[in-house]
Amino acid sequence: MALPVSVLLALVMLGSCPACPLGCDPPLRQGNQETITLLSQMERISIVSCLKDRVDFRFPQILVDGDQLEKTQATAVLHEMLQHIFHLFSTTGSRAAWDETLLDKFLLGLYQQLDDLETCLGKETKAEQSALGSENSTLAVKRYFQRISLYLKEKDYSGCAWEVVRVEIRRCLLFMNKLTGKLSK
Amino acid sequence: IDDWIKLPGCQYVTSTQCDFSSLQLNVYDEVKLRVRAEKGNDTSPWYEVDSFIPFQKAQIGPPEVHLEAEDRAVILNISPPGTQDSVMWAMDSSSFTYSLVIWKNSSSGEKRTETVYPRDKIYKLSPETTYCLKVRARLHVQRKVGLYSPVSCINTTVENKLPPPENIQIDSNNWNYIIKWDYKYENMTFQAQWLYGYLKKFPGKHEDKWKQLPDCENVKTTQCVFPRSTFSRGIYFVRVQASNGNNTSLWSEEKRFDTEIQTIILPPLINLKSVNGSLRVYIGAPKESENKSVDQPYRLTYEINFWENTSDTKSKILQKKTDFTFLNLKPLTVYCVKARALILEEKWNKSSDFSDTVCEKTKPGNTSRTLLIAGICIALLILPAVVYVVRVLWRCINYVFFPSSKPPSAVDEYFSEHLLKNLLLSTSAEQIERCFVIENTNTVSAAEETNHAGEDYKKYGSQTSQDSGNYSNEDENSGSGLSEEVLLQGAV
Repeated sequence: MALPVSVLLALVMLGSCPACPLGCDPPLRQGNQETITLLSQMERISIVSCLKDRVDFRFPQILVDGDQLEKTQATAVLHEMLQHIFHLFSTTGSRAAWDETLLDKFLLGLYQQLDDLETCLGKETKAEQSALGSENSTLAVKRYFQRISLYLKEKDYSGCAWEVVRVEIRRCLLFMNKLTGKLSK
Repeated sequence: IDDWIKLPGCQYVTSTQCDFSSLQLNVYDEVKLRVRAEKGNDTSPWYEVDSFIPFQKAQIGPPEVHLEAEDRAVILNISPPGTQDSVMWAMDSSSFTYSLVIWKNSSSGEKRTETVYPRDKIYKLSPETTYCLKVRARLHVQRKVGLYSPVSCINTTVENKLPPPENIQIDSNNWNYIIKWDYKYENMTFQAQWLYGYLKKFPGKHEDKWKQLPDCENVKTTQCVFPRSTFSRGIYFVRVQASNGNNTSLWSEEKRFDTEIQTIILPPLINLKSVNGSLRVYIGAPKESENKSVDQPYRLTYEINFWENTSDTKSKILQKKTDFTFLNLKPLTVYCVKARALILEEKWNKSSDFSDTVCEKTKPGNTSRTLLIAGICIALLILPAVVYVVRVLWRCINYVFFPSSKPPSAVDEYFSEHLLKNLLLSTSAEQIERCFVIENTNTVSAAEETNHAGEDYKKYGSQTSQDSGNYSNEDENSGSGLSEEVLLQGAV
């Protein structure tokens, strides 16, 4: 006799995900894409006129090679990057350099993404956090942003310096996009 | 060989500790220290401290707290740990999260713990009461918890004449947001303001940063409506104030408002396709709403209800894919599907309405189908063979029982040769053969013949038979002529 429909379904339905990992999925928002667009719109001086101010900020190699980033590590890295970008653009120096409306929207978007991640991280138990791995990568991120901060200070927060930084931050956001994409799979 | 540098503040120290804060170092770089004892010219060996990263070792100090009292709330203003020039947390000043413990200064001081922003308010307090609190900072990612600030106490003020609006709710539909609130008294006018959410992360006064909600100025009802386009995507705070002309109330609680949470999710579109013994389900994007800004930034999960048309038991499945198949179903049965989209995120969950129910009948089962196909194939292969055999048999039977009256094959062959020639030539002109037949002395006739296929011999045959008798037309005429002449001679 025919099995109940639900049992049949349970047994044979395609498209199920038996290997889905548990835990916090960093939320996928289109927000990151919007943030990148906003950043592009914020451009005031063309980078072409600022070529002499270009510097290699040495984006953390540990992340570039980081196909080995575990989920918790990656989430921590994302959070750290967002924090620092937010911090960088909310300084008074930034207020002076960028268009107010665009900057507000930009910070708004970043804040929303941060909020999501914080809710996500808040749910993690201590057992899940891989201490050493996270620390090394977040520290690398901190050093990277420190270099950017120092650069701005040295260049006296000039228009060209901010433009160079803007381009560099764009690179960060694109990296984060890629990382978020990998994590969602 | 390492380049060891003298540590400032730690030279010729007589106690067993020293402070080297004046050293300009990068808090994220590894530091190595070594210490030795000296007495006159004698020195002990160096003791090397394990290398460390200052940032990782550092303890978060107490934050600075400023308080301001209202009648039923206390306004907080928290400065991050360290000073303005603080090197250790220079990069993290906006990353701190704060938790606060508050209690009534009376004997039965129940403690309340809350997570607060650097610029925040504690609500639900009683007027004219002394409250004490302490705050500590935290860096969650680094799992660092700071020290508590010293306890500070404050007295709440006398109760204000007009209470602030309460119970603020924010709803939305496709086109607008609707703020609703409660208020005790009648005949009041209200105004609403909003603030960028991220500003809460920074200490300091934000009074000048609050902006008016234009559609909510001096409204007389306990609600106001404003278009979705007012706010671009993000997190905001909203507050409402009541006024009766003479007096204004204090501001209501600041209600957090996330435009994403207010998203309306539209029900999806379902497409069913019957494939062999299974049903393939396609979940499509919902129909476009009028306001195109309603997009779906989140990953959607779908709750699919699936049941046999005849039964009442529904089974529910949660699924993220938009293209999947239900296998091993009963053939020639009608199944029905309806689905709704869900957002299941950490922060909140929301669901759309159910889509329309779509039903589809499954095709005949796999086994009978394959049999059918096999049958057809076999038939197609066997049929020509069968036809051939039948034809052969039929010819045999015909030959044996019903011989044909055809001329012998030799004649036939000649015949057919002639035939061919005639066929080939007949298109140009008709061939005429003149034939002479002599049988009786008194009749010489010329007959014209046209060459017609297969008629030659027959005509000849008929002529010979006719010659023995009279030709129809000519004989009659001549016969009658003679008989008239004989009659005339006799009379003279």
